[in-house]
Amino acid sequence: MKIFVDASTKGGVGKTTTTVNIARKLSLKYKVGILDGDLTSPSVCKILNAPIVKIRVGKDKILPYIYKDIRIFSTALLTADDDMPILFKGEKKRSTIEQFINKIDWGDLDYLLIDAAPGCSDELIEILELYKNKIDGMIIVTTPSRLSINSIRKLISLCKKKDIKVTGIIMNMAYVACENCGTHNQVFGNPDDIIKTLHDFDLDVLCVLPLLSDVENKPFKIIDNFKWVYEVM
Amino acid sequence: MEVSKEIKSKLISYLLSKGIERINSKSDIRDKIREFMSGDDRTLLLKIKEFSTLGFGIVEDRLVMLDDIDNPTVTILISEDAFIQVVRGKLTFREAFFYADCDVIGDDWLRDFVIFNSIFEQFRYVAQELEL
Repeated sequence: MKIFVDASTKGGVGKTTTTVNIARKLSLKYKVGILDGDLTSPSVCKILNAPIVKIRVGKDKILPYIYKDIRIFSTALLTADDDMPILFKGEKKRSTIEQFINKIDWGDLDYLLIDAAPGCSDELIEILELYKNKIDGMIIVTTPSRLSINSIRKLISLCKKKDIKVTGIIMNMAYVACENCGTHNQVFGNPDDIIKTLHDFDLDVLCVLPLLSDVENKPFKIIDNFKWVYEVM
Repeated sequence: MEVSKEIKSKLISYLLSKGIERINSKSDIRDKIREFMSGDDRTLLLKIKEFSTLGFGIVEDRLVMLDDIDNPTVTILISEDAFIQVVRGKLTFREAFFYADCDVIGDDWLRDFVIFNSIFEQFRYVAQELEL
């Protein structure tokens, strides 16, 4: 099983949307699972518009929820209530991630994607420690915002420190295409600034995605931008 | 009048033993226990912080109270305040776990966690019957 972590520089940059699109694209050829690694703000089920179902148990382990051929586990399945705040700290986060990794019957997956909490979060650090030596790569999602440059550097340095390969960067919300003339308007800044930073680390942009309306209601609207997953993952 | 720790402890012990009787009489909960919690020597320890410790064992699909547990499979660690809120119906067990002072510890707690809500619901019914 190959394990990839999907991380982001900040919240709200479209990390989970890209995770579910990568998962969906891979699931057309392979068996894929998503571990929702954002324990306190789980959003994988929400983005997929997946109805929350009762947890089932297999032999000794909990079975993941299967939606659109993707196996999923998330704290959202435990709370079964969108409004319930989740105030996990320290050891509780670690223990929950440990249970998600070890006590879920993920089966014979080809790919497990871990949708991490934004930035260098506790959850991300725990995941990197618990899955030490098993992670095949990290995909970092960002917008072209100048504010993201520092966060990208931090994430890349973290990967270096933990000896984890950065598979590449997804530049999301890079532009809005004018409906009339097709001109690209860069609402969140110039992607070149981020690209220059990536050159410092000898990294590539895997894809550049526009800011689109209605992605929340149609999560796979951008799936055609993910053909590269078969080559790089 | 302040209720002494000893009386509180007896009251909680009584509440839990009545709750267990109730749980064991419910076939739907026993089905869940069989599905999620069954296993050799599976034990559950309820620790009300700085107050009392009560143990349960699982025999097939029934809960039994145990006096002493050395290495519980799962420990529920809950503050007295959160416990009282749960048995009085102010919080569900799930709410206590996710945002109040309640923790579940053990190598394999996730499987059991799924039915703790149902178990604590029965304790709440007993508390209601006892007008606590």
